[in-house]
Amino acid sequence: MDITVKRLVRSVKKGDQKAFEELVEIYKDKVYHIVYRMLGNVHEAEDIAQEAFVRAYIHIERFNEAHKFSTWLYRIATNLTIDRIRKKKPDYYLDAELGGGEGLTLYSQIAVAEQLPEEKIETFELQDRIQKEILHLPPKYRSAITLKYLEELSLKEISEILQIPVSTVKTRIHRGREALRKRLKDLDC
Amino acid sequence: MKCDGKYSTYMHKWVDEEIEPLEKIELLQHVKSCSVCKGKFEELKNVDQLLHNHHHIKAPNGFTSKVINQLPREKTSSKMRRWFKHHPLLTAAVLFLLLMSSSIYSEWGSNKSNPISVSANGAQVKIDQENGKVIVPEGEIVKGDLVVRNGDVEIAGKVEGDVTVINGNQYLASAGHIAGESQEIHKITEWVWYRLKDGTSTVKEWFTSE
Repeated sequence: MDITVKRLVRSVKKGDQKAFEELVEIYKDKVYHIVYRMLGNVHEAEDIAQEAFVRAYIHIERFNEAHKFSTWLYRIATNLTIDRIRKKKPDYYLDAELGGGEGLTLYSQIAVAEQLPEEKIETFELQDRIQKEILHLPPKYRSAITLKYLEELSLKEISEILQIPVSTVKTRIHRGREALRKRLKDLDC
Repeated sequence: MKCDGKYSTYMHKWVDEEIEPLEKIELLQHVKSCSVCKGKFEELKNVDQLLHNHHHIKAPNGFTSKVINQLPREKTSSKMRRWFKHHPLLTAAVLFLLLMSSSIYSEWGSNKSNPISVSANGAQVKIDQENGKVIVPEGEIVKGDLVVRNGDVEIAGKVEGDVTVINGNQYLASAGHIAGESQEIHKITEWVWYRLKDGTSTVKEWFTSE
């Protein structure tokens, strides 16, 4: 694990909130990304991502320093998200238009990293479409696909986050991707 | 025509860069002759690319402070510890002053019961322990500073430097002479001031002697 993160975790264990603030800064985008990709709703995603951090702080004593902090944190986040999906009532939909907006959906309200203005609209449509299709997957495939494409996470790390064997991770990624292949046939990258 | 399911597995292993060399050969040979699998393979590579290019989303503004506001209150001890860690110079200064003042204070306090001590730069001065008095006899010349602690001093001779009396009084006889400054120190505040001045002049000497 990164030395800085290790040092920060140790300070947090001693009760240092300032150190925890730094940890939040380091991981907030990743955690938010995972939760948002699985939930598809900005408000809920923010709620759950915040709750994940608060829980991590409260239960920091349970974190074993022999493991990666990010693995532990992502596990909290994915578990909370899956709980939320189970409890979720289909009360509003992502692609439902917002009141008063001209074709403005919740997708288009999401801050996106790095993009060129002239490509903006096309990119938005493409990104929205992929997100929509991810949300059509069963939650267990959703989490595997999201983690797989989040960053350089190894299959072993994903298996630790989701607490399932590596072979199961592979199966879920394959099945999830197979479903996406069928649904995204019309798109070119 | 329904192809063997293994080709689909090979395709996924391919995009995950986990495919074995032999499997790779087998897959490439198969897609050459099977247009359905060729199409699937292209689609899969395309989806993999789309997912790789799928934007990374950033947490909304103010996220961190919202999290911090929800945390249970921090203990004061860890706040202090952090303060010390982030202000090492101030911490060192505070520690230094604390130790200095305690050492100065204990030195001052121990003066009360201690016998007279004199530093007279090698000159012959009389020490009258009974009356608690130091006498610089007539005709005697102290070539430097004279410092007397815990006693009075009577000067009938000559002092070429400064005279400092700590915890005592100084009497100058009509024949006596002090070339430098003379001072009496009675209170701890004066003692601290004297120590500080002494310290700075010592430091100055270090620099000038260079």
